[in-house]
Amino acid sequence: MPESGPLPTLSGSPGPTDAVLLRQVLERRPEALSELYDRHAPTLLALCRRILAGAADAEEVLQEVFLHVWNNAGRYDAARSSVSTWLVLIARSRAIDRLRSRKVVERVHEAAHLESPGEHASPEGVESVFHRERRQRVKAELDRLPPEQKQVLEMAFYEGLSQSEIAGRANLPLGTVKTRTLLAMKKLRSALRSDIRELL
Amino acid sequence: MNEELTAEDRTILAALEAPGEPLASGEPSDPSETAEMMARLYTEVLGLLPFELEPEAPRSEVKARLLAAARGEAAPAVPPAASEAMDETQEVDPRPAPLPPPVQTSRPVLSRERPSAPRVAMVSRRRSVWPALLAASLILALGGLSGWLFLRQTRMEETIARLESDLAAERRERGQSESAMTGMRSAMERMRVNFAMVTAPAVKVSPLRPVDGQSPARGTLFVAADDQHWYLAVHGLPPAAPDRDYQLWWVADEGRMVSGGTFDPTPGEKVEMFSETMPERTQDVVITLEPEGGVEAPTGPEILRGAGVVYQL
Repeated sequence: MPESGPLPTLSGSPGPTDAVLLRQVLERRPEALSELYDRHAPTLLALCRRILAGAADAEEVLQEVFLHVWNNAGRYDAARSSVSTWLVLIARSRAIDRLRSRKVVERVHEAAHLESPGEHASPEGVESVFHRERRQRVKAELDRLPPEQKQVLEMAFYEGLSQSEIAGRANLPLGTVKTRTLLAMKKLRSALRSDIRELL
Repeated sequence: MNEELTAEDRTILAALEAPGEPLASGEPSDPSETAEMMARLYTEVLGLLPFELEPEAPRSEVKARLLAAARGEAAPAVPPAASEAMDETQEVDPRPAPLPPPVQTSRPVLSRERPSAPRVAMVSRRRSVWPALLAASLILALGGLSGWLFLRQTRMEETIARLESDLAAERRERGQSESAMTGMRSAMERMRVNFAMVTAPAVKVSPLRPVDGQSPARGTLFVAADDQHWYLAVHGLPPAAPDRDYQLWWVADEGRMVSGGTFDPTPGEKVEMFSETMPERTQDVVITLEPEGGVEAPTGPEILRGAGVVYQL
């Protein structure tokens, strides 16, 4: 993502790019962290909740993610990923670590039943037009995948399972799991190329 | 499946199973620009996946707590959400330490509520231990790195030595091949000359017969029209004794004997001798059995002698 010029942000208004904000975070400017948080926290919280199966401690993971960003902004490498993807990968990794280390699956399922949907703001309140359109595209492309391909991809991404673990859990040959995963990723890469181009 | 995986496939699987940081490149062994771009593309695909989810706004306390920590302030305690009922696992919670509770300066501090001194001491001890641990880790890391570099250098030197040895062997083999090739070319050229000579219309032919009249050995001498180029073919001679050689003699004018060289036939094979010169006014040719290496004047028995008859082809 280029660092100059106004670009769509979560709020839908022009503003500094994520990369610029991250550089300001590196300069220890809390207002930049605040802006970055406003843009990405809703998506990252949804990701953490998805991984932790609606876990109550998703917000703690979210806070860890942004504290990590605050303390390690210098580790971001623009050549490897966009800021958005960097944040997603950190959040995913932290949430999966939490899932594994605390074995919260059964516990949080119970909590999820108790959780009221009204605790968090509605999507309309936190999502920009830009992100809503992106979400619709990503969701449509994922729905377009054959269910068996989508299943292995979700197991790999949201549950952090290796290909062998997926094969064991789904009772499928390892080669089949790999083929489905690779097909799904290649289709998404092709279908989402306009979004990817915006991130590069 | 593994054997059929392309570099792109391996990049995808590596990106999916990578830890929190984006993949550095497609493959460690392939740090090319293409591989890096491939890794980047699939990393971004992963980054897009959560956009399928309905975004959720965190509670405002989360942000307040985060920013308080960022500003180095005491963060306000965030009450748990309705669903975040405390459970027994929180007592052994391995998560990072929660942010400090708010400072309440208006409240009188009781002496039993002042565990600050021991905590400070603990922090101080931790501060004194961490640099040492860090230094020890650095030393270990440097030691490991040095060892790795040494091993790598040793392996590289071994590889270089092996490659140099292979190269020398290749050069030797090539030299031998070239030498053999040169010999073959030379032999082919001689054969071509000999063939041309024996088939030339002006060549003279003189048969060689056994002196004792009983040996099955026979010979044929071909002399070119210039009386210089000659070619001798002998067959049927038994191998010489270990300390003996057959020797060819030219019988020049006035009976002078000039050596034409020695040979030792291989059983069943024809002996071929040739040269571009022969003594002037040669009258005849004789083959004798001599001491190994030959002699200046014939001493042994004559085995074959020219018949004295010359045919003009």
